[in-house]
Amino acid sequence: MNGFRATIAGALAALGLACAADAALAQAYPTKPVRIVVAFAPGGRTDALARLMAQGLQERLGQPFVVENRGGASGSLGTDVVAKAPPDGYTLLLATTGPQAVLPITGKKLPYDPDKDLTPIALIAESYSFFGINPAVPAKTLAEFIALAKAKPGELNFASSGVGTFNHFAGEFFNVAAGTKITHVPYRGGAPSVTDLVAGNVQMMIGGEFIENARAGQVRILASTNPTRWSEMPDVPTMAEAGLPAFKAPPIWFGLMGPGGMPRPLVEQINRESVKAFTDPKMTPKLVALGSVARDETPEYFAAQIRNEQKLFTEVAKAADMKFED
Amino acid sequence: MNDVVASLGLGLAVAATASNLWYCFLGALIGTLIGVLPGIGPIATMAMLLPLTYYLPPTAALIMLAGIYYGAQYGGSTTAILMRLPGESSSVVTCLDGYAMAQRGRAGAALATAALASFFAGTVSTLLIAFASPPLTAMAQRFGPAEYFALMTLGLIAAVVFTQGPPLRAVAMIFLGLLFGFVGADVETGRDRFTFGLPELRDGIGVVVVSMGLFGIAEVMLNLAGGAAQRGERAKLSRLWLTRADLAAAWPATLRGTAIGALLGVLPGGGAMLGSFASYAVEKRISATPHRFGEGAIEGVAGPEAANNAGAQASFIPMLALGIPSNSVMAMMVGAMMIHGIAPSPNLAIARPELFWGLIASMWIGNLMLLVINLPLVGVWVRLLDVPYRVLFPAILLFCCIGIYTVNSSATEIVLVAAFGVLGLVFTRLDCPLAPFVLAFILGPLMEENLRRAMLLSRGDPTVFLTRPISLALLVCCAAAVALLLLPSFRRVRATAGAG
Amino acid sequence: MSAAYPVGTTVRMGPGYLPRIVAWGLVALGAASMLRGVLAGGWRLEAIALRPVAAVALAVVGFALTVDRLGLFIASVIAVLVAAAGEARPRWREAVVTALGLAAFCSALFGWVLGLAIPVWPR
Repeated sequence: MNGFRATIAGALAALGLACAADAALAQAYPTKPVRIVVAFAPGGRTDALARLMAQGLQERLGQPFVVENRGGASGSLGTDVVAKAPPDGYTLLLATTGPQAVLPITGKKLPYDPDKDLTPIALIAESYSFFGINPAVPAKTLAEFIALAKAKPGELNFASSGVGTFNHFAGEFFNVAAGTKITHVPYRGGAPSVTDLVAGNVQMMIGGEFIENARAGQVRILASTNPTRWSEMPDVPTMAEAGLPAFKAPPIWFGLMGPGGMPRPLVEQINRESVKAFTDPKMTPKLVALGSVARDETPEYFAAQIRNEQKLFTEVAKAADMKFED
Repeated sequence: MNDVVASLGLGLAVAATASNLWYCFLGALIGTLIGVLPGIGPIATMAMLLPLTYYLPPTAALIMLAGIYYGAQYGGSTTAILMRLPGESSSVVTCLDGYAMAQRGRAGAALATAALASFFAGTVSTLLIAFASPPLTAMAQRFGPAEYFALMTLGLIAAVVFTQGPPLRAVAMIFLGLLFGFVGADVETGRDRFTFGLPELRDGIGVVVVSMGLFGIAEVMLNLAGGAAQRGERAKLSRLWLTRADLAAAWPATLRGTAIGALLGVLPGGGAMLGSFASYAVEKRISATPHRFGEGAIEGVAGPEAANNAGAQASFIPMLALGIPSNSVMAMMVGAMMIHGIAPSPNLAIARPELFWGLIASMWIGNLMLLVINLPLVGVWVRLLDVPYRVLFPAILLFCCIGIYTVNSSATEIVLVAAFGVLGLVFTRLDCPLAPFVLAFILGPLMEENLRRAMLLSRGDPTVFLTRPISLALLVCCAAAVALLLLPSFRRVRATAGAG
Repeated sequence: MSAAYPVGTTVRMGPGYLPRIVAWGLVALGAASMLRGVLAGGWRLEAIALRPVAAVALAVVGFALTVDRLGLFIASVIAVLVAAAGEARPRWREAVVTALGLAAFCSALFGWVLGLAIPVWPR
């Protein structure tokens, strides 16, 4: 019996040691600089949020958190870097709707497996996007605009920051939901698309890029595409309130992801810290300037959200007959 | 009008505080030092130093970033002149005559010209931003896809008309440049073209990669292949300063360059680079002795440098007026603002006047500082050329490689630089002009994008190019340029100029 | 390759439209130049010393291939040494000194002073 008891004791001890080591490992993180990869060029919303998060995490955890920009190929290059990194928590990705929920369903060959090679860690922020039109267009409410579009099929245009972006999907979804035929005009990025919206070459755009222009009167916002109104713009109705409940586009989200196979305690630790960083009241005005609000969800919720959105976008693409050739 | 003067006064008061002056100086200094390193352009520098600015008040942060931008631009011109390495796309033109001047021992004069021309352009542009921002923005807003297409076509045709030598070669180079420009994802359909399955190529080949390879690496190869004799030919440095003749020639070129740069720089997306090419072409056309261009004509440095700087400052205008960044550098400034909690808005001038006008005033101060920093340094930079080439060229190669890597951390791009180096060598040996290639490479995809977008918006109606007034005017200029090319008398003049 | 892309109509130009025009134009130009050259009696191309050119190209490629895995320092050394091999009679001792010196300088400057995202040492 001694042998048996010894074995049990040994096993228990080993188990205890392993747990302690696990916890110790988690406690010890981070012991060296961490890099947060942004899959876009510096200067956009994703980049700004990444830098804010880096600053926040650095203050909380004591180690430098460095933002690394790896732009290109609609975000797949940067995502690939993280997908191929070791899952030790020292390489993180600031993920957003475009590369994570939209890109995988467009049929482009990706150098990584979007489900297996990435671990969703935390959903950190959500942005508001709006339905905006050029002020010269004779419509003051969403209903008027839809009527106008139906009366002139094929004459109006909507802008997007590229084929396969949120603006593109949102615009086509609108066509399906409202029964209109507004022509899609893709641009290279957000800046030229907003420029043409303001100039009047295109009449409509759905997204979050022109919030400030709207405040200055260069763009007229008819509705918000988020499920609830934004506290900064209380007079703007949601799409459902404005009369188009069939339009259900998810808000643009931002989150932290890591390479596939990250240990659970590590994921939870980073989740906690990053949520605390963004829900800190000092962060709130900066988030507002970016048209965003902080979120607090578990990694499972985050993972489920990404999967659901992929399904949603696939349905939209099918309904709107969107073709993605390669 | 009085309002603006008062605002400028406010701006100067803000910009001239001791701490803001210090940050401006720091930014300009760091920008220059890093910009001198080949391949590391303003964007990389600004990204590197962005975290430092978190702890500064927003106005100081933006002032410092702006200082870094000009500094890096000027540093890029320095390497263009001394080593034929364009620090960024708008320095490509400076490589042509600036380097030629350096090879004739007039590096000091070239550097000084670049500094002075840039300063002048900077001063004028600052005033332009302050006083003429609304009308310029309104004019820029009238440019739709049709107008952009016409403008770019004009640019390409001008490149042929004004290049020395057989036009056939220039046209061939343009076509080649266009072909390389097509690499990447097509904007309108999202399909990949010519990417050979490499996702790195999905955004096209970087301009920095192409220009560093064609000019910088090829130059190293040429020097090594030609043997030591070719390097020794470089005349000893004669003078650091500009002669009166220099000033007389450079002065009007600077004026013209400023005008061209400012006008083209206001157009969102294109700006500084197009301006420098255009200025070079104009100077060559107007000159009584066009054959000097390519051999060290000082107008070929003064004009494009002025245009370059004017364009860079003018590209602030769409950002300040619309809150929309017109190129990647402005995007960085916007990002910096967002991090500080300021949403870049068209109403920035009203919401945060001290920030807006302080930034504008510091632009001028920054230019002044650049002059103060760089003119004395001219001697130092030129001494660099005395380093034995055996040691210098590996350094150049290393800096190029590292520089390219810092932009996108892509080893593929470094390999591409080598490839373009070989290509540049071949082109130069075959007497094929490089400038049209680079211009076509940059303008080609833009031209195509605008052509297709114009057609999309007009639902297939090609007369849209003729019914819109600006577009029509530009296309008429195109026709005129082509006619000039074909006119026999002009051809005779070019032939004699070429032979002379 | 561009033949595979849908050409589309002039109204909705496919991605293959312009590249096809350009490619044909280039072919035409090439033919025209060749004709000209043949008619004019041909021209002599000066010989280019291949060795230094190849050395430079390979040095750059070498850097590209090694910098990710082996870090900045080693990649720099490799690059400089390969480039030095381009000389007809390479001065190896000098090359090694230059290589080490430059590698140290670049690593210090880019890796530490500037804090760029380049790995200095092997991962």
